[in-house]
Amino acid sequence: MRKPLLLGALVFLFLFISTPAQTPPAPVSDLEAIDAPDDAGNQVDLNWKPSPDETRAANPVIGYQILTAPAVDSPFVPIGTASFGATSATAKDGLKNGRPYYFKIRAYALDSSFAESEVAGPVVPQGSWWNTKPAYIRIFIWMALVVAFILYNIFLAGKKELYIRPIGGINAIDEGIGRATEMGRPILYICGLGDAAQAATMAAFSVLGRVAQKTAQYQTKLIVPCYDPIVFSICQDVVKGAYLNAGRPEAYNEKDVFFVAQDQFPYVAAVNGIMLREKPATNFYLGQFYAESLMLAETGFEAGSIQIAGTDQLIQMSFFIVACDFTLIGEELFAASAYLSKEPEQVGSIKGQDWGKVIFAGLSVLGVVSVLLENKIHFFGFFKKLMINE
Amino acid sequence: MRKEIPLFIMLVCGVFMAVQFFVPHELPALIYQNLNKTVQVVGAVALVLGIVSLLSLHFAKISKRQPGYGYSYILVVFFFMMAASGFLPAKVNLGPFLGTGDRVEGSFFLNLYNYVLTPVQATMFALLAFFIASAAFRAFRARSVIATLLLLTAVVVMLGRVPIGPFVLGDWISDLADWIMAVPNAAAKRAIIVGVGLGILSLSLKMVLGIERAWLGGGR
Repeated sequence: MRKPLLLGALVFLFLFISTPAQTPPAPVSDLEAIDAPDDAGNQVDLNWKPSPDETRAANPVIGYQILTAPAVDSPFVPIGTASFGATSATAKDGLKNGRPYYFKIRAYALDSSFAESEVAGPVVPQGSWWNTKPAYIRIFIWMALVVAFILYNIFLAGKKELYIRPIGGINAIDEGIGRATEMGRPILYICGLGDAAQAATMAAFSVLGRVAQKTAQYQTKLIVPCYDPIVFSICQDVVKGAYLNAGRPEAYNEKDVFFVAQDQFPYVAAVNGIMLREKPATNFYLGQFYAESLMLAETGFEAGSIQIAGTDQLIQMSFFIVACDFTLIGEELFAASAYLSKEPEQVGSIKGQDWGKVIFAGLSVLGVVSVLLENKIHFFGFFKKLMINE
Repeated sequence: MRKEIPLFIMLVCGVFMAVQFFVPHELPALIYQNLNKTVQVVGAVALVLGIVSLLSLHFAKISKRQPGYGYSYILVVFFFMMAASGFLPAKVNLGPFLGTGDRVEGSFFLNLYNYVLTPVQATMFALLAFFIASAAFRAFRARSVIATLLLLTAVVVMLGRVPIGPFVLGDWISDLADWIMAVPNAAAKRAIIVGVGLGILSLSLKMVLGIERAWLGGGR
């Protein structure tokens, strides 16, 4: 019994002495810490050269740990990790703007031995006041250019008469109001399912203001069933203001602008019911629409109404084109109010918008040519880099 | 002042929203978040106004015995029943058919939601198939060259998107359908998207600068 035990102890001792001790890994080098650019703050970007022991056969480096401290002599605490092969990381956990931080990277080997880098810092994280990423700069330049064109045309419109192309769908708005007046039937105006912050809904408010002014003048009933409670409140105000401006505040009936339901299909059921009971002469569908677009438009068709629609939802646009008499496509919805007003400033804005399209079309063609000829003509290579590459 | 104050608020908020997109600093982000929360508060208040509007409309219909006032009865009864079911004490038991007062599966509230509202909504949604069929019938009548082109394109896309198309005609039909969707269709969609973007920019600018005032009822 004693002999095997003694033999085992001897073997263990032999193995312990003969196995070479695992050497700890070499640390990462050239650690650099900088405040992360184009961010809200509370972040520091770290860059380093990886440990040369990542590739060694015995006991290689398997990962890194990021440590931080508010002072060089304070204890460093781990705030993140970086995987094998990484040469950069963003430290963000627990960092606060306006305070100095020091950083170290700890390289871990397979046997859990580690080596720490030199200390980098201090770095004081700060939020940026302007985003300098190329994509943001491009958006800014593009936006500024279009805004400049619109403002220039608004300015120009005050000095000379500008021509804008006739838009059938918008001309039909006046016809629709006239038809309702002649037939003595109401107009149904639907602002869609979008909330008040959506551009299509805002365009719908603007057109509603114009339509309500006309219905006030012609003493035609205007029914506005609303899906969203905020949209409902705004619609009430828009219609009331339009009746006031038309000099007929007494003709305004607040019960004609009402909230229905903030649920898609109950709303559709209610509006379809109104269409079939009230038989409106004209239906307006302007705003944001989803699956209900065709249900509404088909029911309106069955009810014998003239239908004018406009939305920025591409799929629903096709349904409206099929089922409605007139459809405002794309920017026509946003230009409708300006077009109806005929005010020089408004007309100028449409002209500016059209110039924006011309610029965009030109840039698109230039972009295609640049992709095709970037290696042959230096300018196109430069242009592609400027406009397309990140 | 009735117009000046809203226009001033629109100017400040519009400029802020445009600028904050380009400013990554946490301060504008914080203001943006708080403005969004304010919208939620406004929404909650507006919902009360909406409910008052809805109920007053239907009460008026009932009291004046207007055509279809029976539906108004149903709306009012179910409105209060649904609201009351949400406030039932958990101990209340209305029997195995109606359910209990708590908010777990089998409660009166969830029974109303799952077995009344949801099937009714699903029924409404299912009607869409018939609306699509009737609209397609009208749209695809070959009355002119363009309408015929639309009909042919629609037939190709439909056959290319269902298993029987490639099975009977070969893979070319699905390849052609994919090409139609990826090239001419995508080109048209992108053109519309550009127009929409420019339209939004132009409308926003006019609203922020107070040029577009129709949302205030028009006038100067």
